[in-house]
Amino acid sequence: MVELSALMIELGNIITFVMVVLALNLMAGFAGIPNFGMAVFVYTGAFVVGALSVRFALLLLAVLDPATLEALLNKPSYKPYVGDMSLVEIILFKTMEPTINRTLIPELSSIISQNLVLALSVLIFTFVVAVFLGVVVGVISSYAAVRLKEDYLAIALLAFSEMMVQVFFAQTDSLAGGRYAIYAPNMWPSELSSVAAALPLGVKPELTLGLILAIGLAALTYLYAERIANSPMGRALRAMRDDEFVLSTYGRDIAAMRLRVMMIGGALAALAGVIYAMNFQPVVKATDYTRLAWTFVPWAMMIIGGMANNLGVVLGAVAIYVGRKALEFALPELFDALKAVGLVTEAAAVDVIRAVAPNIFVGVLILLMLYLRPKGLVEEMPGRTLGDKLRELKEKFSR
Amino acid sequence: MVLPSLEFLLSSAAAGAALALLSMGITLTYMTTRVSNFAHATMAIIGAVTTLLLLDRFFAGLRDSPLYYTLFLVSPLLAAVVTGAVAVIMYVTTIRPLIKKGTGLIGLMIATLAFDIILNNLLTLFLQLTPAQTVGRLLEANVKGYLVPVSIPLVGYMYPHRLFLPILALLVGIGLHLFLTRTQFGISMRASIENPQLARIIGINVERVYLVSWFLSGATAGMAGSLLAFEMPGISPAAAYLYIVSIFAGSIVGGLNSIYGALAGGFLVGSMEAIVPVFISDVYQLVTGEYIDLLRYQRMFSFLLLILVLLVAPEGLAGIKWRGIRRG
Repeated sequence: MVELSALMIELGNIITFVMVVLALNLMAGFAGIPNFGMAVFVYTGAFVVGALSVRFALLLLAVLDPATLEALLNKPSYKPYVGDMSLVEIILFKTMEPTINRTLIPELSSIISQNLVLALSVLIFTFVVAVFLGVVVGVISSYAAVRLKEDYLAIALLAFSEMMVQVFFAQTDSLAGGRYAIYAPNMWPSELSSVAAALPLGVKPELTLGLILAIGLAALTYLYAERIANSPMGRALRAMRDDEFVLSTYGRDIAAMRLRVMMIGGALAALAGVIYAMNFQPVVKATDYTRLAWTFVPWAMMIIGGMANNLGVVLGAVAIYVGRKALEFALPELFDALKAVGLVTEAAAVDVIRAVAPNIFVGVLILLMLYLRPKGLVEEMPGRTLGDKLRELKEKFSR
Repeated sequence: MVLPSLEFLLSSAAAGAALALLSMGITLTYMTTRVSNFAHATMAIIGAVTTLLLLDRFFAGLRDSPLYYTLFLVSPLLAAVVTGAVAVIMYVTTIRPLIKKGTGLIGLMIATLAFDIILNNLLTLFLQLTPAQTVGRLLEANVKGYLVPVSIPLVGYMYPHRLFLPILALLVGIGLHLFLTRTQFGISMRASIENPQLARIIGINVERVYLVSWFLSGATAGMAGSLLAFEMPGISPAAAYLYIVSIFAGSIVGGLNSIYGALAGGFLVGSMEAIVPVFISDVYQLVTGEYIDLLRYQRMFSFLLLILVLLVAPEGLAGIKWRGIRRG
């Protein structure tokens, strides 16, 4: 039997993907901006959790409780790495050092959980800064999105994402750990965790809280995406996707619309990154935010679910994630069965097949979908206009 | 050493030549079928694996004999056949049916991404399933260690593949030029690029032209990869994910719509990736006395160039009116 906490983490991963895909759908599905650089948006959120919120918490601690900070950072075991740096210098430049990070984060986490003011400030800081940086990345990307079209734009966004995540962040150790893992701190105050601990689930209370937060945020994201889809802006976005020229003759500012949708999508994707790194993947590593995991898989979910349909892409996200996991778990069983019959003699390959099969599955599924059902499982619906709503009301009352 | 040595320049030229070949291949299929092929770098890795297998199975015993250098001819040729076939399979099974269905540019890009994921993972599977004592060992190793540098007058010691790469790129470039301008088929290929409908009307089999362009594209990727194998710090299919951006950079700097532009752009980007980081850190060291390692940000320079060219001069090198500039 699978443990409940493992199941909850899987659910959290699905919710993260749902949020990422909703953001991607806004940019690519509705607005027609082929964002092949999704990974950098998601990593932005994770970066805030792993690198910025730790530094913020320590700096705030310097104000709130200097004695604790002194005890936290002035350790003989840190001396070889920090020399005679001042505390602020250590916070800014040395907290991502793998050996320091590994011992520092658990201690910092328990300090945060005991200090309500600190915990709430760190939580608010994390979300505000992630949204801000997501918007910033969106603005930077929109610089390309305004000037380039289709394949050129896709290549530019892909290059931007690879450049930032796989080259810059993965190679700069002092900034966010680089190739080494850094750990996400706990941000929940003990007042909240004790409430969650009262639930008879038998899992870490922080996980319960994280999952509740994730479900809440994902629901809000969905409602927001639906609202945009059915608003005049949503209709204008679709019109821009279908024929930019016609829309511009009606006086719409195409560049401003593209900028706006990249900002909104960027913020939503960064939020997804925060949720993911904070609760479900607390080991943050730039090299984990690959094009495959955070650009290609979300695209697959969107295409299979049905572009420009929020419900469709959510279904696509759930289906693809569950399908990939099922493959990962079913394959070793299948191999055991084959071995029992005598069809397979060597078990050494199982791990490799387990790693590659989910990817091949997604690749094949995309090709099949593009060929057989390019509009996805759930096709795009015309948005509900104010007129539609009035007509529905009228029918309701005339009856 | 702010003044670079001849050996350093030559090896940078080798990196440039490899990227020139790769960028040219990606431009070729873009020009004919309007597909930005994301599987191109994986094909280069397949070429590198071909070299590995050859090294391991047939050339391991020949290390001290002059016959060893035939590797640099046999391996590109074999790799070209293999990857050319893979490209043709890719075109026939995925690209052509989708084009016939009227899939848009982004849909086609996604399709090549999907094919790349499949190909890359199959390659991983193949490499891991081959008995560990043969290929697995080579995967970890620096393949360059299998080569003996040769002495060249005036230059010093050079790894032989670095001499063969520019020669190969030059030969392929000249060969392609002759093919496109002197042969019946090459001329009909240019006609199909220029105007596919008109080409069909005058009886050119455009379909076959496309097929050949995909074969040529794959074949050149394999050739480049087979010699690039010696430059890789251990051959892994995952390396393709970063290579592809440099390849696109070369191709876009060249203008995406000109084969000669792609050769020039690829050469520029590839050699720049090798020269610029070293040059900057040398100058920095000269000024401040401190050493900074910029080589690990190597790819960043080509990505920046790619984005810069896209935003400032999206037509690339081929789009610049050279004649106009000369006339002033």
